[in-house]
Amino acid sequence: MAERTAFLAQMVEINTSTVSFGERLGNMVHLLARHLKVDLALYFGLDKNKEALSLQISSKAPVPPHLKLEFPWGRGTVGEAAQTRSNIQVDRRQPGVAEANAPLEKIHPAFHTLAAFPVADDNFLYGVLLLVHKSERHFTAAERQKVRLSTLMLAGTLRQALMQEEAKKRIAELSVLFEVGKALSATVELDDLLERIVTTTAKVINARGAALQIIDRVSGETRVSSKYGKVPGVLVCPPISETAPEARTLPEPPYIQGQAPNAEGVLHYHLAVPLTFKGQLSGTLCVFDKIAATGQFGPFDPENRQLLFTMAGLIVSALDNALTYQQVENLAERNERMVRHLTALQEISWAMLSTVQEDRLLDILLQGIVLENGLGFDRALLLTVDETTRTLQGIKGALRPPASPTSPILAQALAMPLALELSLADWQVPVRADQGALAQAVLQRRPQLLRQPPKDPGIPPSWQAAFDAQEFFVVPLMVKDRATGLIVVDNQTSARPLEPEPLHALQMLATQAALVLENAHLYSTIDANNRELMLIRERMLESDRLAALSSLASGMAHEIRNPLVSIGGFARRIEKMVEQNSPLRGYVEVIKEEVTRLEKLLREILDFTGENLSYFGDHDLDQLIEDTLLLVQRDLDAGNIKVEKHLAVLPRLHCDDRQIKQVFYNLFQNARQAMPHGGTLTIRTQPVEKEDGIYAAASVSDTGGGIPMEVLHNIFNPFFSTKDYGTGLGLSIAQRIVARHYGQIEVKNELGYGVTFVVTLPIAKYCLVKDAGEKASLASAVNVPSGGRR
Amino acid sequence: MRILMVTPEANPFARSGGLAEVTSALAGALAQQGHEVKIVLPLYRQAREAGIPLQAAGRSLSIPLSWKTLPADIYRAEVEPGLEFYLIAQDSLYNRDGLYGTAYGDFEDNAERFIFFSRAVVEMIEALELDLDVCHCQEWHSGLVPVYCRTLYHERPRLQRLPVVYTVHNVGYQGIFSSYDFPLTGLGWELLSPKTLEFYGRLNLMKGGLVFADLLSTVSGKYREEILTPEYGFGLEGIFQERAQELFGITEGVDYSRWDPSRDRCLAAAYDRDRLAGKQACKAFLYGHFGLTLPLTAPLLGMTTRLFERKGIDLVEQILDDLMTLEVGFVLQGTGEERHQYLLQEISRKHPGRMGLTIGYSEELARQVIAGSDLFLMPSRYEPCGLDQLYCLRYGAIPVVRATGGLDETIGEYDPATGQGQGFKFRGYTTAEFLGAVQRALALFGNQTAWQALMRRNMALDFSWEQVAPKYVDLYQRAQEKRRRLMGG
Repeated sequence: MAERTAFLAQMVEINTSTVSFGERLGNMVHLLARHLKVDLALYFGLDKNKEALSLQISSKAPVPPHLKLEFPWGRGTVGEAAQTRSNIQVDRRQPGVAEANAPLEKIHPAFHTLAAFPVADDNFLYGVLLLVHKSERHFTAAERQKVRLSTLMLAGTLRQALMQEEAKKRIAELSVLFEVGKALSATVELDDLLERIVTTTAKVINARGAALQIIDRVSGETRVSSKYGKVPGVLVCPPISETAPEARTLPEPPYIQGQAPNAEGVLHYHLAVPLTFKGQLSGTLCVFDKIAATGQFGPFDPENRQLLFTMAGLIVSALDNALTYQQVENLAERNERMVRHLTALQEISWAMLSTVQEDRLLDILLQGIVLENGLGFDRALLLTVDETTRTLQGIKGALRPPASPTSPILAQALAMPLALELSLADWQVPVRADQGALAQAVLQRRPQLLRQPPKDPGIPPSWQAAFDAQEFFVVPLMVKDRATGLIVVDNQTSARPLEPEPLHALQMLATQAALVLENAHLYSTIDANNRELMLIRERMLESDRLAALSSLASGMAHEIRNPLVSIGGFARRIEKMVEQNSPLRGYVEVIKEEVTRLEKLLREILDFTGENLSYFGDHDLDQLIEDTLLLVQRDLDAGNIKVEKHLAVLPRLHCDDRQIKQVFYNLFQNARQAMPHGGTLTIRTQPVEKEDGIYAAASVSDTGGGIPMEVLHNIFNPFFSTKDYGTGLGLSIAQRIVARHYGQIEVKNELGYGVTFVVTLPIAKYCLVKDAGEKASLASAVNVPSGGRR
Repeated sequence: MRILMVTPEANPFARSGGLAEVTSALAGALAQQGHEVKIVLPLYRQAREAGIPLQAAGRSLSIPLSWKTLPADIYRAEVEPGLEFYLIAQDSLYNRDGLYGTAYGDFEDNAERFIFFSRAVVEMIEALELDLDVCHCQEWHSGLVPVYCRTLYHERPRLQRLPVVYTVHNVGYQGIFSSYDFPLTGLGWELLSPKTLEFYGRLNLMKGGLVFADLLSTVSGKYREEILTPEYGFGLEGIFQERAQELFGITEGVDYSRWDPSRDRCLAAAYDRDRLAGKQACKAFLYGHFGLTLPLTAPLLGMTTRLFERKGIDLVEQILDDLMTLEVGFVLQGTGEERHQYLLQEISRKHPGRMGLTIGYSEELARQVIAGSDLFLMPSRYEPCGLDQLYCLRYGAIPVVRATGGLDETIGEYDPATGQGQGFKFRGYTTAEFLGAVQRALALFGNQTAWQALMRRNMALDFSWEQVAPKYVDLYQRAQEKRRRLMGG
């Protein structure tokens, strides 16, 4: 009796102790086993679905988590006791007992007696207490009574444990809901909100993962989604339609709950409830794989479902608000971006209107595209179409300058030279369909967004490496249905995606840029034409002047020539008649000489007036010079003048050989006359490349001390001469001849040393001579070949 | 330095194991070296009954615990100059027998009790405006202190700049609770994540300390190495590896003012290395106490331990029958799991006069066992530091230990050739290796000259806290530097 009291007292002591429920139950089971002197006392707990009883407590030692010892409802002595809710005692010798209880051999291989007692209060069955002994064991009535009291106490402790667990769980849930509520009212930042929702949902349900998805019911597109923890594979958050077969009707809202094995055969569980929005949005909140106390995954229970519903109801309006807010924010942001781009476009337009110089325009355009406060692309390239050769020719490119804190406002920045210029001179792409994306853009006259360009034949090999951007955008410059060029942009440096808004702005800019560039091009063409006209006019005026002069002179010459013939003829007659030593003889001589001189003058006047016909042909300048030199060789020798020749091999000139010989004859004579005491005549020929073509240059230098400054400006005037002999027409005639050949004659005067005349004659057949090189670059920016065309 | 040590137990107020000893001894050594040390612990019933006058600090804090709020009263006691105790009182949580549980197990509300304690400590620092240079937290019980400092109370400048050092005394006890207890902490649910406080779906308070403290330490260099491995890390090895650069191993010390056979009042006779006769008297006393009938010349093996497998009690049970066939005596004092108690009682009944067993624990008997034994057995599965082997050295009991943690670090294998080493070690957790080590020890016992030389050498060794305290000061300074760096200068 005392022993019994002691036992019960200890039981009560354990039952009322403040240690954790697990320890209390363990201690009670242990005490019972020790008191009854049985090998083992085991407690099997009934699972929530009331389908199986699993080993939870052993009197021997803590049950290792991996040991899974389980009896289905109604099977084995344990299951039977649970089903019948009554005590059952069996032993191994009875038929079927060993087989039915075989799982017990895992922990007690030699069990003989098994006594099972249901652990239940007057309402609820919690599990079964099983006493195991290795030999025959009879339980007295008193012992049975003790076991019964023990099971009642176990049931009481279990009920308490369940209630406390429940209470803690509720408090935890409330704390989560409270926190979610707080978060909901504290933030309208959607991302933040979504993250908090999925995180806390997973935490409070003790799930391995959670996911939330909101879809547009009309378009079927996912508006937002968020995940926490381990979410299997692709987001398996199926939309829940009210008519789905899994959907239950009353009393609960619809939900989806289920399990699916993964590739390794491990079961994964999921539970999803709908989020019901006003309007066309719908969504789901899902949890995956509930983590059981043993660390394994398990299915979700109705309480989880209930909590998930509560969560769903709580978050939906906050989500709605946040979504709307986000939409408004997005819209505002887009507007702001648009305004910024339009402002930039306007600034760029203004800047482009400030000049008609194509070079400046290109810089402004490229600046506008790459500057941070412009369109902000990382890189921009500009190519033009050469219509005559049908090729795309690279012109210029620019990289985005590194951001600096003191970047000037756009209008100022546009006026600056490019910070990082790229030379594209080696970029030439034939405009053919097989020449890649750039040529295609020109042919199709459409902008193109190219993703991950393969080895594009349109990109020169030297550029392939630099062109590994994920995507780039090509806009043709269109003028009257004709692509005059291309702008290529990309964000390679920063690897940002190409956003639609700046691309849109770029297209607008391209339209305007095409027109402005075309205008500049037309302007420069008109300018060149104007200058050509001016030149021609000048030349015509001069030739009018000369024509008038020469018609006067030739009329006079003809008038004078007839009497002069008479004078000459009679003078010779008189000579024959005058005696050898008559004093008249001297006079006659003078008359004769003067007539000869007049005749020479007349001939030269007639030469000047161009009455002599021109014979143009292809001639070698060096040969012409050699031929002329022969004519004056004797005079030069006589004047003790040395000749130095440096003649280069030159292409043949198209010229009148007689006239050109005349030019050099005159120059040689001038040189000889400038060196009455001897000296050196230097003749030099060389090709000269000018902007508008190749010229042959011949220079004739003397060492005659140079031309006095005061007369220098007169030397090309007709009838000007510093010499008391000669007609004064030599240089004038030379200049006219050279001009007629579209060449130039220049004088380089070195006072105290000598003078050099430089004759330049075009090799090209027809060439605009005067001044043409000066502003040629304007036109060349868009149309490179120049000399031949204008 | 002004140091606050946060601990669940400390001498002389509350003691359940070595931690109380270690905390007070370290605090005492620091105080003696001129530091200003405060210790804070819960006001348990044991502490109320310790007989030390307490002074109300005049502040009562309101500590929120989930849906309720409990008051925390603060008491103060100055035990010695430079060492002040703060005790957090909340009778519904602490006024019980036992610090952490009863004979039947741990209290059901331990999560609540120590979450409350941790939060009260943080609130106390703020409320009493304690000017501190470092806060040194011990064990899982105070694991939330650094968490609170760095999260919930981060905005308070005093707490924000307070460096926190967290010392792990035993990774085997992590303070793991149901995630449903999480609302008690008052922290945001985002902290219940695997990166912070979550541990396989549950709440782990030690993990909080490991993640949020500025620097970490444990109680021996060898144990520091061990907890980086899955075998000893108890699932936290990942965090230890992650913070290995900031994890330090500092071996514990001995308070020789309390543990010295020359002035130990519990002993039958005092002795020291020059007067070993007293030790024989102590041995005789043990014979009497346990009723051993062997000659006094026979070797006596002693153990005071807790009856848990982690202490290697299962190994002892398995070799005892073999051991008892030899001409040796064995005495054991301990308490712990019942099944070991029963098993040991059964074994001891088989060997009357040779084996003595006391189920229970008193420090007095522990001292007597250590003093009276020739060999002392510590076959622990793991041992973060272990103090008994250090006491044994001073008390002239030769330790036979498993080479793990602090045991491996402090005890060198005796080499008969050179006379080097302090005891006998075995590595594998097997009866054969254990028995082998015991037999090596017994063999040496046969050579009394060598045996006594070893005893004397061991008794001269110095593991005092005075040697250890500066290492902690260094650790505190490192923590200060780190915090300063984090605060941006």
